[in-house]
Amino acid sequence: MSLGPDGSLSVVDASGLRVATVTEERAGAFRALLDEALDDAYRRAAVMLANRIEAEDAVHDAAERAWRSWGSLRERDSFEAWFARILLNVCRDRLRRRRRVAVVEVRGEPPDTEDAASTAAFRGVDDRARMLDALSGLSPDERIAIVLRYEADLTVPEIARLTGAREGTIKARLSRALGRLRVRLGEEEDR
Amino acid sequence: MTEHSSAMELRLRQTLVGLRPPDGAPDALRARVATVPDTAARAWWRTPARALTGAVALAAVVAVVVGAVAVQPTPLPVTPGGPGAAPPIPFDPMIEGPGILRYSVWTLVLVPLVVAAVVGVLGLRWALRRRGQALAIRLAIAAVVAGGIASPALQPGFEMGSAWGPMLGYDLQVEPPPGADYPTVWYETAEPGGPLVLVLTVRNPGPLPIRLDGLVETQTAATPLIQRWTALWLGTDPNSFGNRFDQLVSFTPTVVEPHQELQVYLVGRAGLCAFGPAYTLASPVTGHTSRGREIEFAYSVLGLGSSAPLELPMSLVEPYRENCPAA
Repeated sequence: MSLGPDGSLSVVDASGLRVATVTEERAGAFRALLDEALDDAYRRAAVMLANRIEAEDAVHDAAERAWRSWGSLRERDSFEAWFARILLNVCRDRLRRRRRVAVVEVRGEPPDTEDAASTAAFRGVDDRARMLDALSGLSPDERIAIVLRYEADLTVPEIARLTGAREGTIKARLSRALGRLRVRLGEEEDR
Repeated sequence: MTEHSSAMELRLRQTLVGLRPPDGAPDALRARVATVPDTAARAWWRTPARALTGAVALAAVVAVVVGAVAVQPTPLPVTPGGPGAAPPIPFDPMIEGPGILRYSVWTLVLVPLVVAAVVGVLGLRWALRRRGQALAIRLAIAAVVAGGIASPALQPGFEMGSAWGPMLGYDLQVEPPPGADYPTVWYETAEPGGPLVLVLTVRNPGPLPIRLDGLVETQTAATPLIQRWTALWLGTDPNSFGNRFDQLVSFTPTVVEPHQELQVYLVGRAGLCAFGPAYTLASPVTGHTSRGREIEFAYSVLGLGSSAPLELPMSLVEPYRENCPAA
């Protein structure tokens, strides 16, 4: 038996090959690291997917994937970035699936009232709905780049590192996404 | 960046930040992910198993559809009469079609193996659901069930029976010298394009009943230079070997019980360049042809089709004449 670098207990056979691991030790270490990273992961998934219920499912899926490949994580210190990458992939998969489902747009009419406060509140909600609608027209990769840039305030090199894409690719995605948003919102405003 | 796009980016940022939950992860989510090491540990095999099950199930459906619908055996045109026609037509060696198939169906191999694979995967999933001492027993049960389902695919086809003989167009038979490792040679002595008839018995080696569906023959009338099989006939008197021609009836699929034999009358036509009835071993011939000793019978077990070659105990040889005008 030997103690692994992550604190896990391993059973080693005569030839030195690891044949079994005490999973309770590993599970405890995994739970502790996941618990620390959970708030940020949930927030990021909620923004990425614009849906808190789906964000919970995404974080859970990511946790399962992370546990299954727990053995591939070399250093505990890199858990957060490692888990963030897994979560991004889960969100990307969900966004892709979502694009295959037709979305029916539902929009309210301005309130028939002279109350300026109500009208302003409605406009605020309507603006947000239009922006979300425009965001939903982006590809999953473009949406991920936009969220990481404008919500998480990451730099292009940081986004590139996190997504595994090249910086030039990220710049192109951001540029393309902003162009699409501009066109879409411009078209909406022209109506 | 333009003022318009800057304003848009500001709205974008506000919208995205507005999506951010003010509190952290809900307690329900925290509790859910805490169970992941327990649930995912049991389920690590589930995803690939599901994918495999889905793929195998799809393959099973495709195999059944292809086997049962797309490649139904297509008998050649029967002239005249056929299964169900009454009264039975008298034997005529020039009638083509009864009992002849262009190709065979292989559902006997495909369906049990594919279904067994699906059941095997499901059984594996069931067996792995609980670890420990019961695992070996569960695995054994799953293996036995899957093996049982696959077993019809192992049913062998017909084998050569105990008797055979020439009936028409094979008047010259040459026995091999003692100790030779080749079989008796039957030379065709039919007229060019004329009828050939021989009788043989086929045997079901068991353990399941087998239905003889016909003889698979790829040669057609479009290649008249080559000897080909044109029909199967059956005898009506099971107590005598080599029924008279007026005792024969045209072939219909017939079930043969395990370890039983069935007399089958193979009818064919000689090639158009065959030497003819005057052939002797001293005749001046250009050469001899033979299609080999194997013929292929199509059969069904439990309604699933297959085919298997059967090696004849003799060599059928066609001498062909010099300067054949048909060639």
